[in-house]
Amino acid sequence: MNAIHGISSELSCGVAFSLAGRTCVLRSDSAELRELIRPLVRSDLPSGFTLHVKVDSALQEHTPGRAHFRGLHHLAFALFGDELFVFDMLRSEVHAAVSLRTAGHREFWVNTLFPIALGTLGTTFGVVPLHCACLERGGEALLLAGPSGAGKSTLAVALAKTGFNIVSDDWTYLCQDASELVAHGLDAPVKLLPDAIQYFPELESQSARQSLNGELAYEVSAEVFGAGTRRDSRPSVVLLMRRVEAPGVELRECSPDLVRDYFERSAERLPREMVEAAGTRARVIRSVAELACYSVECGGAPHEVAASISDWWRAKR
Amino acid sequence: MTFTPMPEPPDLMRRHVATPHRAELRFGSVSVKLETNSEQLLDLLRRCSNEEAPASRDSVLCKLIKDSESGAAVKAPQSLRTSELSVVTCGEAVVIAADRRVREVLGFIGEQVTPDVVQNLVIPILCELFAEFAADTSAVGV
Repeated sequence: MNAIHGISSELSCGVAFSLAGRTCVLRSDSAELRELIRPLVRSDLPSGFTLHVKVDSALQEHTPGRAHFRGLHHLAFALFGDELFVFDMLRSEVHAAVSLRTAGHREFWVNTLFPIALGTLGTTFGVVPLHCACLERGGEALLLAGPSGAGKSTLAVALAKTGFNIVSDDWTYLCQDASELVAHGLDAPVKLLPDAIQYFPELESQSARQSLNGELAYEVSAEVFGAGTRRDSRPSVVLLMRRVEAPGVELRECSPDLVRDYFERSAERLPREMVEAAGTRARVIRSVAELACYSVECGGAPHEVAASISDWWRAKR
Repeated sequence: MTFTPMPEPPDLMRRHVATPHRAELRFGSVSVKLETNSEQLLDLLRRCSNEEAPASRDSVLCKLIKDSESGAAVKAPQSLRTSELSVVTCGEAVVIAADRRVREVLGFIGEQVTPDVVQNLVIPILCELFAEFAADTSAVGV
């Protein structure tokens, strides 16, 4: 092989850590990476994926903000500059060759790589990524779904300011273990588009930067807004939101079919070969559609919309 | 209240590109069932193969996508190897993986990669990956 970097990713040292209710394993020759996942160490959960990371001193750290993704059959590839990640759905494994600096870059692993790994491989071990925010209050959660640009993250932050805890603002990881549906979030930052600054003065001290999908966005910790967070919760309600021009909030019960259709069409198509994973996803989406489903048309300032939804939630409970 | 129907699910990774151009070829002792979306790529590979050969149960499935959205810059090859996988990249322009357990070679080649580069760089990489299957017959039929 005409390889400049011949990289073997056969690595022996394994550390178990938890992610979205699953035990994952890191095998790496990077002491920095093993150290930074120490807060996540736990091994009493069902199995997730194994992450093999080899540090190659010849590689340069990638420039943040852009990646190249491709996939065929059970394999998916992500190139961050010259740094390569291979996601293997058949074996629930990730193999990576990274620079020394990337290995020790906590934000990259927590904010970028772990969400991508769960998004790509999760359905193979029962963790189904769904495009929705998740907010918890009083031990129950609502899933806030809607197309990109509908304002899910903005409304999630506004709801957090009324007392909800943020589980996730964009992608939520659903598991159905022993018939119980559990929604998990990661410690990923809240992503807000630049126009959110008109509603949240906390963003004035932050910088917007290019995110993975090319959008300019603020990516900030929920703590910036004084918001509480939760790692997981039991969802009981789905809100399918749509932004309208007129101010106000209109909530109505909606058909489970509408919710099921939204989630089935908003997730990337799985490879045809991954029949079991497709079955897992379909089963979890069916369970989500069996929750109390509402459509919500909302317009006007997010804090006013959040106040209305918060009042409705309190009255409902 | 009505919601606009959602469009079809996205295919951001280009997993579901149709591959209507097909041939059964032989490279060394390895028979390869080639599927691609590019007639030109198929022709180039056909010219470099030993012969046309009917597929058999130990054929290697090779699916290659000519990718209109990949970058044009071809970098020096870089490989990542595990006990069952070999992945070779030449920047975003060329990404090829061989899975010896399931006997598949899967890859993306940027549309702007010239026939010369395909001939002199990509096909030699493919031939080396195919040769790995000749050396590893343990997974036949898996």
